[in-house]
Amino acid sequence: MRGIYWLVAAGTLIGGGGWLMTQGDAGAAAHERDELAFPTHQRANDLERETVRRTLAPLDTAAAAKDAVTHDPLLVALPPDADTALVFEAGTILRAPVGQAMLACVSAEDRAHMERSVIDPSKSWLDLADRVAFASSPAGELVAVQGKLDAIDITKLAPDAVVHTYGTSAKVYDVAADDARPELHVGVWSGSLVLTSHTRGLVLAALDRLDSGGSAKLAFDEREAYGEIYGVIGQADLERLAPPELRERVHDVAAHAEVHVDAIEEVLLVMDVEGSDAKQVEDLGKSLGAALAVGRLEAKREGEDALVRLMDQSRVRLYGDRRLRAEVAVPTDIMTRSMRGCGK
Amino acid sequence: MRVTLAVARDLLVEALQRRWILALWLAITAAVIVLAMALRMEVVDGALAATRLFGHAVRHDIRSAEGAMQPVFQAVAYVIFYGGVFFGVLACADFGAELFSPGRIEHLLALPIRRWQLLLGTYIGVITLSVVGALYGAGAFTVLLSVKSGVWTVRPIVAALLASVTFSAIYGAMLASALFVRSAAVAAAVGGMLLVLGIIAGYRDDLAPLFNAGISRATFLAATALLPRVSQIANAAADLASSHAVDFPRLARSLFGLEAFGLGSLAVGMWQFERKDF
Repeated sequence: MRGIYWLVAAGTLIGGGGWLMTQGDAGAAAHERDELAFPTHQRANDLERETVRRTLAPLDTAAAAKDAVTHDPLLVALPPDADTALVFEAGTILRAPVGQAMLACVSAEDRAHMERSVIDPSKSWLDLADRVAFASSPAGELVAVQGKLDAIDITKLAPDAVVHTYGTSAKVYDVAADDARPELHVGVWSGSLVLTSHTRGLVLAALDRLDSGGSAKLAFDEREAYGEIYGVIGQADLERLAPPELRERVHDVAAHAEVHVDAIEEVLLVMDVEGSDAKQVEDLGKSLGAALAVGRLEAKREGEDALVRLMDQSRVRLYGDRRLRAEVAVPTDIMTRSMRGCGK
Repeated sequence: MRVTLAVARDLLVEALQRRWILALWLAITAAVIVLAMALRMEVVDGALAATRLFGHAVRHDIRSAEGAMQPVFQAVAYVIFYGGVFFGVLACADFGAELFSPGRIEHLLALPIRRWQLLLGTYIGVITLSVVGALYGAGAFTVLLSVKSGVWTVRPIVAALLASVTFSAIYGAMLASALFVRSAAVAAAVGGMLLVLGIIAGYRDDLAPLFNAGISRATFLAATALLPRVSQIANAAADLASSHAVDFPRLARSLFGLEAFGLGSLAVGMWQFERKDF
């Protein structure tokens, strides 16, 4: 019986310790982290979406070849020589938090004006637009909207437009210039695509490409159509978008960039920048990395924990010759903070 | 208490004369010196732009130095944690066996020292040794990496101290085993087994579904319920070192449970010590 109290103490300690540890059990789940899924490649759902959208078959081969290459009409409509061509998955983005905040910035008057153009009163203008694309080429700028657009009456948007039939399934609305605005040309193709530009030739060329079933040359490869925003940005627009302190360097180094943005939850941007000089591209990468690090430090100083967490996963990566990839994450909350005032 | 600390001090003096401990100190010092000379980091405005190890460029992303160093500190924390516990099990296995060796234990018991003071003093001495080792190893690597990267943090050192706490629980059982079987090999085997079983126990919730529902699963859960959650604390240490979120209440429960296991094991040893005639 000697020292039995030690045995009692041992039982109590080991039993109590076991009970305590059981309360803290979490297994591997406690160690899991939220890794951000940057849109760096086409995923299964992107591929499925791209396949469904390839509805345009070239006229000369469609009848003869069963495996004729089909194209996405929206991408065919964009000028193949566009310096900048960006597609926004409006239908998805507008339902995401960042899209809701953007909508708050559209004035009630503008909303009412847009809604008046919808023929079917049970439908909202916002439900009709699937994708919106902007393209900037040497000939001018073009805006394309894709969706269930046969429900929209263009003449209500532009009552003084002159309407022409063009090609096999298109109409062109020409709005003459006046003191307040320059001339505007709107092309409607198959009730699913609306093309708008101040340059009539751009609209007609887009309709011609669509009527011919598309060509091999597009503004960017269809396999690059993934994320909620995607496309290419030319040098001039890149320079405009760059932070002021990096504009000169971007002008000297960057030729163009490919962009992919995931905007479902957080805003995750992937930008592949290509330049002409490997050393200069590397230096630009270092400057971008430093800018991210400074941003992270400022966020940390201001106690923006969510931003710090996302900035921790933001990075710049050099790959190949003369190419770099920037992966930047921004909390939706920060993106929408400046827009909230619009709703008031 | 003074007597207990005197026992601990004597153990530390004895430890310093051992080749194992000297080898550990030399190995850590040599590794730090080699790394200090071989590692070059280019930091531009707080962003880690390039790293060279032994003159060769290590390809990585350009990102904030703090973010880039997170996986490095995480890896260092794992190495220090598991390496430290493993080395502690090997290097300290024979302290107990030597303490109870014929001739020495009779001499010690003839002194005005109580048995519990002798056991607790030995335990405290070994734990002090492990804390000093962790501070030296983790401190040296942390200072080196901080100087090179410009990211100053004490988190890897805190992570190393968690390894010491974990080792203390395992050593409690090792010291108790020496009172049943006076053998350094058995003590090392007990320590090694507890380390492996502790890794398994940390994932018991994930492993339990692999057993058939019923008796086999219940047996597995019961068998692992009392074991220290070594892997869980190692993961928390790595998360802490790499500035990731740590569930502190959960970590505190694991640590208190772990320390209770160590002290409980020591109490079992004390029970055996009190019964034993030398």
